[in-house]
This record gives sequence, C-alpha cells and structure tokens, in this order.
Amino acid sequence: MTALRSLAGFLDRHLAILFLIPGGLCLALVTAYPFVFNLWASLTDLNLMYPGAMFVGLENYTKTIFDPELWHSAKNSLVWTISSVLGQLLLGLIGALALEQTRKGREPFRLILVVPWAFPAIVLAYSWRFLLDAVYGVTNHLLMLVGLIDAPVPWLTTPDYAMPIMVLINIWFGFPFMLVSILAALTMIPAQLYESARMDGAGYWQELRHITLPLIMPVLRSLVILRTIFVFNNFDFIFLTTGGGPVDATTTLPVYAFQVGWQRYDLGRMASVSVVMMLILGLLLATYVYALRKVRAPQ
Amino acid sequence: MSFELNRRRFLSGVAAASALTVGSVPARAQTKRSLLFWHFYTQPARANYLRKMADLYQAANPGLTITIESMPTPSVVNRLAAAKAGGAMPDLVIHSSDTAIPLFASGDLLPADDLVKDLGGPSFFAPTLLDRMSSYDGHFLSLPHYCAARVLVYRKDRLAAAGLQPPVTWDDALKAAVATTSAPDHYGWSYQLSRSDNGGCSVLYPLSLTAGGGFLSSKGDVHFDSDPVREATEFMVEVIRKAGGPGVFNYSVNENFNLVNSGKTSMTLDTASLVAVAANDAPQVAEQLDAIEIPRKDKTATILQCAALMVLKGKNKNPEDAGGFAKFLLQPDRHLEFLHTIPLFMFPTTVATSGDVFFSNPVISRFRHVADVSVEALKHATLFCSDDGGINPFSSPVLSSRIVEDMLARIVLNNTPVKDAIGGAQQQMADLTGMLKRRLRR
Repeated sequence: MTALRSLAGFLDRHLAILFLIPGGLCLALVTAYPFVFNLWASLTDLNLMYPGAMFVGLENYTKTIFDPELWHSAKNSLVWTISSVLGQLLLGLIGALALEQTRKGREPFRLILVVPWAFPAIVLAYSWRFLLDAVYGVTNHLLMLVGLIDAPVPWLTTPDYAMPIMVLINIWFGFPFMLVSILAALTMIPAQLYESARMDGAGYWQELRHITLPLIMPVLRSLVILRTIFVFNNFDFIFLTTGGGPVDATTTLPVYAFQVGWQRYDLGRMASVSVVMMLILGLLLATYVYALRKVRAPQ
Repeated sequence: MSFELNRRRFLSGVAAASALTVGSVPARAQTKRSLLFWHFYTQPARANYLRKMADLYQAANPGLTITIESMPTPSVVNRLAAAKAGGAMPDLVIHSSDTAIPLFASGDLLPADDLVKDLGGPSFFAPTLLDRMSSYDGHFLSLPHYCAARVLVYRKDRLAAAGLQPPVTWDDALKAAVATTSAPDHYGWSYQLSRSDNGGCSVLYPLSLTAGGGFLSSKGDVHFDSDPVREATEFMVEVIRKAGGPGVFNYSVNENFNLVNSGKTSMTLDTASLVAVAANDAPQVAEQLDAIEIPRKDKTATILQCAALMVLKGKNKNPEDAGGFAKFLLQPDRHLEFLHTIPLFMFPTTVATSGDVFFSNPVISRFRHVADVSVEALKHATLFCSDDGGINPFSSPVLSSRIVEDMLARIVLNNTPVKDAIGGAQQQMADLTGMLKRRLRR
C-alpha cells in the first residue's frame, strides 16, 4: 500500500511519464519485439513449414558467413545502393538547381516528376519488365527500328546488363524525391546572401560553392542517409523486376534473405542474414556520417 | 472554465475508454459459422463458378458465411506459411496436391479419409488416382479436384511448313525446334525459366524421366547428379541456345499462354490448358495447335498436375463445413460444370465425370485429339519427384527452391560446365532434403 502511494505520488510529480508510456509500449511492440524475436530466431532452426524450433547456437551464422552467395549479395547491395543514391542525388541536385531558376511551370513540372511515387512497386516493375522484354518489348523494337541493334537484346536477363539497368530504373524512380526536397531547401536560402555576393563580384559557380551547397548541406546529408537506408533495404522493386536474376546478378541482401527463408524454408538462417545485413548497413552509415561530419552549414 | 489534467484524471480517462472499447465489442453469435476458402483459380470463369457454388452451399446451410480468396499459384505456399504465422490459415484450400505433405507433417492438415469414405470410397475417383496423388503414411491427404498431364503442344502449320512430323524423340524435337524458329518473329521452343517460378523443374524432371532418371527418392535420397539428368540438361540447354529465343529466363510459367497465343513459340511443354485458353482468346492460333506426348529419350513419361481440396485446421476451426463444401463441389453434376468452365483446361478426377459426359463439350470435341493425348498421358503420369510411388514429401520444397532454374541459368548465361552445375545443384538439394529429413523425424 505504501509502495502504491509512493508510486502515485511520484506520478503526480512526473505526469509526463504517464504520457510517455503508451508511445513507449507501441515502440516496444513494433520495433523492439521484432528485433529481439529476429535475434532469437537466428539462433534456432525455425522453419517456414514445420512447427517448433531448436536452439542451434551460432550454426546459422557460420553457414551464412561461409556462404559465398552472401558476400556476392553484399557486393551487389553496395553497388545497388551507392550507385542509386549517388545517381539520384546528382540528378536531383541538377534538376532542383535548374528548376529553381525557372518561374513559369515549376509547380506542374514538380507534380509530374513525383508521379512515379503514386504507383505501387508492382506496377512500375511490370511496366519496366514489359518495356525491356526481349521478345515483346518496345525498347528493342525502337532500337532495331533506328538500327542501333541487329537482334533483340535480353536486357534484364543478361548478367552484365541487369544490375546497371536496375540502377538506372532506380535512379529514374528516386531522383524526383531528391529534387523536390532539395528545391524546398533552396527556397529557404535568403535572397540577400546572393545579392551581397553579386555586389562583391561573385559568379554563379562561386555562389553555388560558397552559398548554395553549404546551406543545403544539412538537407543533403539527411537525404543521403535516409535514401541509403531505403534503397539498401529495398526488396520489392528488384524481386518483382528480376527476381534477383539472371543467376544472381541482381541478388541483393534482402533478396538473398528471402531466398533462404521463403524459397528454402530456412527461417533461422534468414534471421541470421538479416542480422548481418543490419551490421553492414550500420557500417555503411557510420562511414557516411564520418565522411560528412566535417561538412557543416555556416552559422 | 479551466481544466487541469492530473494523474487521477488521466488514469480515470484511460480506464473509461478501455471499458467503452471492450463493452462495444458485440457478443459473438454462437449460431454463425465462417469458412475461409483459398484457391488458385484466378481466371474469372473458374473463380465465378466457385463463388456461385459457395452461395449455393451457404443457402443450404443457414448461418454459414464462406469467404473466398484467390491467388496465383506460385504465391500459395508462401501465403500459407505467412497465414500460419499470423493465425489466419484458411479452412479449405485448393492447391497442388503435393503441398499436402508439409501441411500434414506440420499438423495443419486434416486427412481426407472420412471424406473419401463418405463419397463412396476410392472407387469414386479415377482408377489409381488417389494412390498417385493423395496417399501418404496410410492416409488420403486430399481430394483431387482436377488433374492434367504435361504434353508437348505444337504448331501444326509450322511443322508442316518445315516438312516435319510431330516430334517423338529428343532428336526429332530439337530438329523441329530449330526448323520452326524464325527470329525475331518467333522461336521454336521457348521455355519459361524465370527465377520466380518453377518452370525449369517442370521441364527437366519429365525429360529426365524419359531418359530413365529422376531427381530424388521418396526417402529424400538425392540422385540428381546422374547420367539421365545430365543428358536431359544438355538437351534443354541445346534447345535454349538454338531455338529458345532471348526471353527464356524472363518468363514465368503463366506467360506460356501469351507465348502461344501471340505465336511467339512453335512448341512448348505444358498441359492442354494452353489449347483451352487459345480456343477462347486466340481462336485462329488454337486451330493450328495440337499435342503429343513429351518427346522421349528412352521411354514415355510425363508429369501429373493435380489440384486438390485440402481441409486445414483453419482460423475458423470449422472442418465440418470445410469437408462438407469439398464433398459438395465433387458431386458429379456440379463437378462436371466446373470441368467445363474452361473446357480442356481441367480433366476429370472422378469416374462419374469421365467418359462421354466430359467429351461431349463442343470445345473438347473440337480438339478431341489434344484431349485424347492428355487422357492417355494421365494414365501413366506421376507427380513431381514421385516416380518411385506415392507422393514424395520432399517434392514441394525442391520445386519451390529454384535450385534447378538457377542451375540452368548458370549453364546458359554464365557458361558453367553442365557437370559442375549439376554437382552444385545436387549438393543444394541434399542440404535442403537433409534439413527436411531432420524435421520430419522430429
């Protein structure tokens, strides 16, 4: 009774804690529980079809780490993520700087650019599959019509082309998000800064280097980190377009995890793959943060 | 008026809201029953028919509500696993009959022994069919809803133009495939070897059977790395390289319909369903189609596809209605109506629906030779990896593992030597079956 009274008294004095409890519980349920469950699963032989799970220690991790497919998928993931994010950033930045100079038609253009985001991944993936199809695809038809190729090219099923094409599609899909975000950041820069610079004789490139880029750097940093997380973890777009193939040319870590867990029924090992994925992503983000830490916006 | 929020008011508010929420949940009506029914018939004709049957069954069983969900074939196994994890298993499912074993082994499937008895015993079904597609561990696991056998569907006009007879042997088939290729307009024999489907297994397995081989025994012993499988693989690879066309590794099994209807392939290995769909969607192409048993190396063999009704321990805990509805669907007049929803797509599984009543349909009569070849093939067809009798408990996992599709892609696209690729696939299959053996023993 005394303990209850003292707890009630404590809550009277710190009412904010009561308000934090529902949010904390939700967070624990949707984030902490899956994380802890995944860690537990990675130490068992949990199976997709059969009930029960036995503790197997680090066996799943040993199998995963010594599987050459994991490292091949990790390499693919890095190529897919870094190329896509870099391409999206460059195209987004160039597009935003160009659009910032125009006054007429900026809004409709901005709207058109974000249209791909309105479609689910399955629509986009199948549209691209159809466009690039070796037998029915319009791409081959047009290229043959203008004489650039003699015979249909299986764009998505040629190991050397598949990943570059997937990266290009991802850049097409992701750059409008970068563009819109950077454009918003550009509009926040006070016009007086540019006027002062021009009075001091600064040209366009000097303005870009000394005013624009430093002032939008916090936004760029956030965009790069967020897009890296999204692209690295992206599963549906690759899976629906190439299924990770041909052979394993576009198998990234999420696709590899799916194959292990859902096509070979080995949920325990799939959990260990996701832990390894988390470590690789953590390492990648730490590298970004380290590289970007000195680039700060002027006060 | 001022309002100050304190600990007592906050907790009282939370308690009142909780009480209201709990109190507003209606008491469950005890007389109401539900049934969740999954099937893989995505074509409107079959899906609409099943909805009509469900409505009829509901009308005859007041208080019952049947919810139907249809989904494409490749996603059923994954969705079953996800449903199991989420406690949302269907009460009745129609899917490939070999799916029944993992469901039975995991305790999710209720054997169909009593349902078979209620229908009049095994003799209600086509001879030996239950033994081939349902019998396991002393039980009948499922009821066959329809069956079909894989045959070689070919273009009569293109073979005639090349001066060739329908191919009987592998050599004939290779010659025909090459002779009927006219790139980029059309190709001789386009396989469907996408990584997202089991098109590779569905061709390599029956071809290996005709060479006297197989993939694995019903005890899970893998004998994939063998001369017959190697020869069948080499044959497939030669066809792909000489007459497959550039899209082979992009297509999933369902895209076979488009390949045939658009005239992009001159031959393909599938069921008579291709002719059935073409008869409706591309009648001019359909008139040029015919079928023959799968080209053989040494002996005739083929693969049996069987859609089966399986009663599960579903989320509604309603096996009575699930079993009742399954039997309702197999009553001869209703079952025949189903088999004729897309004539030539589905072949009879019961004695009452076989024979003249089945063949009397106008479309089936028109393509009588295709139907006869299919019926003949059905007599000796076996389920995937079930060539040593009964159903193989390891077949479904091997089929969905994509090991064979990967192997073929490595050989054709990466130029991996056939022997090395087969050795790698053998090892992967052995790892997979080893894991499953441990599970089945437990």
